[in-house]
Amino acid sequence: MALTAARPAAETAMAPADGLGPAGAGESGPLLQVRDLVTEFKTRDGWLTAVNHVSYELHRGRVLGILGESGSGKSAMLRTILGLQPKSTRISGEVILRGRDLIAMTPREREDVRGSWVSMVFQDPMTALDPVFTVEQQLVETIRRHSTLSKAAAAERALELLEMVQIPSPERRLKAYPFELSGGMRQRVVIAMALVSNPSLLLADEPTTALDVTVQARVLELFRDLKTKMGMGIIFVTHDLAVAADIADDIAVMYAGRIVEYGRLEDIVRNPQHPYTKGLLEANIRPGQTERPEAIPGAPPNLAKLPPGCAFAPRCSKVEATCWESLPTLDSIGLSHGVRCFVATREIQNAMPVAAKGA
Amino acid sequence: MTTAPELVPVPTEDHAETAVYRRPLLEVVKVSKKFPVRVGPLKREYVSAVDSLSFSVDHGKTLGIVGESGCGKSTAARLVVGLLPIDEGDVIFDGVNVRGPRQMRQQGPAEKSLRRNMQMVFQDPHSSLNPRSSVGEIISFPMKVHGFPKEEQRERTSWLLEQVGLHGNHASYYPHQLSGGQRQRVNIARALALSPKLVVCDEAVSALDKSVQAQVLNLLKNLQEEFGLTYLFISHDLNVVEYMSDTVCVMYLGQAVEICDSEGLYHNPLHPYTRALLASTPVLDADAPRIDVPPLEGELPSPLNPPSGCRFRTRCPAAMDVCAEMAPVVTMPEPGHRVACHLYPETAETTVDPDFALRTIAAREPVEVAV
Repeated sequence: MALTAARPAAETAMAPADGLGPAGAGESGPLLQVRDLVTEFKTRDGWLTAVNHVSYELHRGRVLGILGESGSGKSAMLRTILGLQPKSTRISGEVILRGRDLIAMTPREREDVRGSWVSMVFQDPMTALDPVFTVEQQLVETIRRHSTLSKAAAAERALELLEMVQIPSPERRLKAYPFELSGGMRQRVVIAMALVSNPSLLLADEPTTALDVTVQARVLELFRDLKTKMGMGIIFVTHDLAVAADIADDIAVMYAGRIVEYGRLEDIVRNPQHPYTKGLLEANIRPGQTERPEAIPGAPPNLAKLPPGCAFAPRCSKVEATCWESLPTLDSIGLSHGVRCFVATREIQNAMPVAAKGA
Repeated sequence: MTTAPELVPVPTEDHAETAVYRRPLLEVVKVSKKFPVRVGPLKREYVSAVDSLSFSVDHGKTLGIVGESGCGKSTAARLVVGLLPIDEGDVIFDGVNVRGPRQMRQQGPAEKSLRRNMQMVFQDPHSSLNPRSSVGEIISFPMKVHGFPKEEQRERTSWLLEQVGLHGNHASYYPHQLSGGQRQRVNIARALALSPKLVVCDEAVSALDKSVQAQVLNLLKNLQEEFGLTYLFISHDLNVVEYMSDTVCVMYLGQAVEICDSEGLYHNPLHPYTRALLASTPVLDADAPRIDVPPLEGELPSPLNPPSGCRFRTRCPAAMDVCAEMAPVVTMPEPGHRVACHLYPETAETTVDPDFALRTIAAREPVEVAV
């Protein structure tokens, strides 16, 4: 138990639900720093770069929305943070959670971190739960893995957790098997399980994609509560811009494994700079829309055969000669806004002196 | 040997004009479907998946069906195209009653010609294409079944590929070599192979990424304009349904609760369920008009034992005593806007002929049902 010194384990983990949990214990700076993270898988076509030099920070009580299409590396990144990638995966870079680098940890140490400092909510609640055990059995098992509680005390804690995620008649649901619950209810159980030891970081991989809109609205509400009441840092991965706009404080847009634009929610929704972000906004059908949506032509590239230049170039309407040859850097274009695009950066730099003159 | 019926491009104006006076292409009249469920060793109960559903779609128009999962929208699609036998009610296609409870599995030439005119695009682009057939084989298969000459099959396949925005070379590809959007294009090409009149799209864009989804929606709209296709467009995404449809039918627990033209429905939703659905949809713009309704409480009740009276009453913020006692009748509080809710009681002005309650939207004379 190499971690026990750094982590006030069982006692704080059982702190009342409204407490800040172990995360508050005298640490400053960002909760999570990801620096230059690279994840590569071996395939028949050679090494495939799923996560390509990704860096960002996440503070307590904030939600970072990661937006991207399928195959953009957003799920692979979450799994790398959690340490769920197979052994054959090549990983480099740093993932610093509360001052400790998760990548440099031994598998044993990571096992202790998983579930207590960081936990994950998966997309499909049916496959995340074991169909042959009741909700209570699964929750109690998880609770006892992370604490020294007796079975009876763990069962009580399980009930508390179900109440916390607002499951109606929780006593009855404890005895239920996953198949007896509706999709929204199952997802709440999965969230309850992720909250067992008050993690400071919650990773959510498309947690509402499989749910109906009415249920989705309430699960999003629950995530907002976790953020504000428990001060958790949440990474919320989604392909739906409207969902991201509903929950996230900051947004990072991923394309072909790289972050192509990041910024506060307002920056991204009101003032998008990368052609891909703009394209996503245009492609999204809004209420009352009658004109044709502006679709992005083509399809995402094969990650094993990335072009040397900008990966979005083949689909981009503003593509220039340089885009094919060299990879643009992620340039800062505002206080909290950055973009990886030659054209957008140049346009902003050209516009700046004019704005200064006007002011 | 049959020859390929031409997908004749319909001049849009002329088309719109005739559509107003023509009988709807598809009429669904009080269709019900129950599925048996084993509840005990020897006991069976029935889940009412679709209950007395009626609607109609005019030539060249799109009817959208929205609702939560389990509301019966996919079952409705399968009943229309005949993938499931109907328990009660009738499906009238182009003026002919094609599926009644006794015509459970039509065989022979009648069914064949019907299949030619009614095609379906399925949700999952991965499982709806045979992984061991090439794209060319997949698209020409319906033509093979209908006995088109080989030469024509080949020509038409490459023409279809072009229509859905794929390259002629794609005919030799296998589904695993295509992206999700391309696969869905192949699905659409296959559905169009026999020049159908009606295309049923069951969550046809739900599995696609947003950027690709817009491509496929535009493709469907272009094809509709060019060939005067009629769509039954089923989706859980309200924004997509609003964009695609002329008329929208909202379903809850197997029943239609509101039918209206899409503009009226989204600007002035009458049924509390429709309002809740609209309020739950996440919106991108902060300044977009939002209906201020709290999100729906509770879960969809079990269709094994639906609530008495109005099926929505257990979750309805406006539920009254009368809602538990009797099912609401369909009324028309506004022209062309039909709703089944006790908030809109039946008066002389709002009454609708029950047989045609949820069928037609335009103020049109009810047509005779041909049997």
